[in-house]
Amino acid sequence: MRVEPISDAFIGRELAPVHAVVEAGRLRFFNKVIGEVSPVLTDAGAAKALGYEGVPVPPTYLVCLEMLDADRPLYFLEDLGIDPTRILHGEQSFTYHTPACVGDQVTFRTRVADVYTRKAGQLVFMVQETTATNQRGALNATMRRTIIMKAGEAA
Amino acid sequence: MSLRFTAIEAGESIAPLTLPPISRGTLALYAGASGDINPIHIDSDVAKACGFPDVFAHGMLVMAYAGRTRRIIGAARFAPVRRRRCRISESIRRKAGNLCEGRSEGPPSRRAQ
Repeated sequence: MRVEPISDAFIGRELAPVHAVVEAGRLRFFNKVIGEVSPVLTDAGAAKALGYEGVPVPPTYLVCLEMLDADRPLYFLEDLGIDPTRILHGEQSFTYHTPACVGDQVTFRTRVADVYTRKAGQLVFMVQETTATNQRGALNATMRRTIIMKAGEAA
Repeated sequence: MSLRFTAIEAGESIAPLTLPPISRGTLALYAGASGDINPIHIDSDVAKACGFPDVFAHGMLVMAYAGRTRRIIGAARFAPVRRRRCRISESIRRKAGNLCEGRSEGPPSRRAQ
């Protein structure tokens, strides 16, 4: 893989969409690992009593689901030629719309929204915006991921 | 889907969450469960080759822990989330115990007034 620095030329780049499925077993494993025990997030009956169609995913799960079902989990870096060991995940935000629940099919579409430098050019920031949309075309969430790389770290 | 929730009042404290120390095992399990298999979080050799003293926690693991703080003190109510933002400011070393805490600012409509 040819290794690239983060470049202004990435702005506007759209990555190939990722199609994912919210699976009960994988979600249960994730909840166990993070210690999530809320009945709403672990019990279909409790979720339905609150009006959800199934167990909804916890707040950060959508970025995980995107990695779990992408052909290569770190495609959002590797498809741009970025070495995942040379970056830091500096910031992540989620704005939620329709809850994603077990059984949903979610499509992720990611584009590079911005590239900028800080500290007199020593740090390069890349902002990626991702939309998650379900099988009915409803928007689950929009997400922003900020990746930080030291200038000159590419090679 | 029509969802039913009880309102959260401004100023209500969110139950603090004390977390167990993070071990290499935690990071390995999180890598598998989350799909974030970046080796700097799970392979000490790679972390050291990249100039880090050792593996360190995924920022998103900490955000996932913080996502559990939706129990409001004094009630077992479940708070849905509209928007969530996390700035990852310090690498989390293994073995550190961590604490998440917070306070409700009230519904957005009330905040805007």
